[in-house]
Amino acid sequence: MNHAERTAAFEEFARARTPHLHRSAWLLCGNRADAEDLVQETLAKVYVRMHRRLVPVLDNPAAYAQTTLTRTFISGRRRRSSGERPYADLPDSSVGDHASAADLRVSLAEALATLTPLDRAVLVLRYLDDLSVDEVAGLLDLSPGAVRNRSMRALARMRERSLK
Amino acid sequence: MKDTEFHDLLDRSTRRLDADVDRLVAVGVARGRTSLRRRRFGTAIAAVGVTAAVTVGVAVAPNWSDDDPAPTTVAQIDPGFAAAPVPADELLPQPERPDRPITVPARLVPDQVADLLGTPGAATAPLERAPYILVDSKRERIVHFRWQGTLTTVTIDAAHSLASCEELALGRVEGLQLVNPDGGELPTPPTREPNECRVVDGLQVLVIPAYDLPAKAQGATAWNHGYAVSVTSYNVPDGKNPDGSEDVTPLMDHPAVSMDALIDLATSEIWFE
Repeated sequence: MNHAERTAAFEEFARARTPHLHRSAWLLCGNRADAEDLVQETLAKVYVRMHRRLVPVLDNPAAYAQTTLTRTFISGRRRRSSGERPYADLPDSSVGDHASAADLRVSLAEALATLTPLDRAVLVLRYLDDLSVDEVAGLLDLSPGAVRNRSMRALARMRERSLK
Repeated sequence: MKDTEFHDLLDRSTRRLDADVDRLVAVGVARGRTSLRRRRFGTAIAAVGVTAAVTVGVAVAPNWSDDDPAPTTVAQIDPGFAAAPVPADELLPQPERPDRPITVPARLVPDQVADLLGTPGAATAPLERAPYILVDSKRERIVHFRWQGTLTTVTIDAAHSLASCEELALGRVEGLQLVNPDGGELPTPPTREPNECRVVDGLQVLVIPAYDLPAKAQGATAWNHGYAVSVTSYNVPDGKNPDGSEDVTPLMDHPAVSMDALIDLATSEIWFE
């Protein structure tokens, strides 16, 4: 596959996958600006990977992109020495969305903001991407037990926030 | 809250999120391209750093040992024009001799280059009138053509018949008479960047920046699959003007094909797929 074909393949993949990546990113970041930046950074990394020569073709680019997105998010949060400030930024509402969905997102973002970035990633991977405990454990370099514990703890926290 | 309920909650809350897919993809591509270029530039900077270290080492080394009979000769070569060694651990192993055929016929090389540059149909047919030749043998290609009106040359040779990247880079320096064995004053070096050996995605690549002969040209050579793939771009319609019959009037300030694109062309797998 030459450069032009790789670029075409990447753009086709990116257009198909970006909506889902954007949803994951929004849940992880809690606001549109950070979510878009995370998606763009993820796409850039996938672009580089798909344009590297003499490396195996990605068997599952969607999984690679999801892994890249999650790890980029977590490493980015680790670099922020000041840590997060939950509730400081309310999530954006989206023009054209139904008000109920927007309200739901606000509530959800507020609840997710009470979690650590790693716990947030566990929930998104488990319940939005439908990955198994073992898959999440492998992706986040955690033990399956740790994933279960984090998942249970995070869900309990969400219940406390009375999300329904 | 049950697992299924939470899944449904995440799904419902984000289903109607409006993602500007075109913009996100466009910016992602742009950032990806920048990242690729930075990787290459970073390698070049590292190579230049090694060059400086080696040059200083040569200059100082005779003072470390009185037993060293070799005179200090660093003045013979402008440090800025020395070829940088390639970090061996970054290189993928390459066969000594070609391990596969060249798959692109010589007559299709111009179109292939134009396609890779994103300008289908912008290349002429191969130039065959003297002084140009067209070579289409089993393990060799020599193809001259014009892209955007400027001369472009692609050659693919068996690598074992050529000198190494470092030797070729230094050879150009000697060819420009920067070495002065008589000890006299060195001529003024041309104002251009030095030739350089870099590693691009595991391949050894000789980068020859633009220089002034009468025509300004730049090129890249990649060692891949036992071949040396060279692509050279000029800023003139013809590269040679020995008898005044060739058109060496510059059409633009710099060679038409950028160095990044030349490296992409030279390192492409398309020649062997």
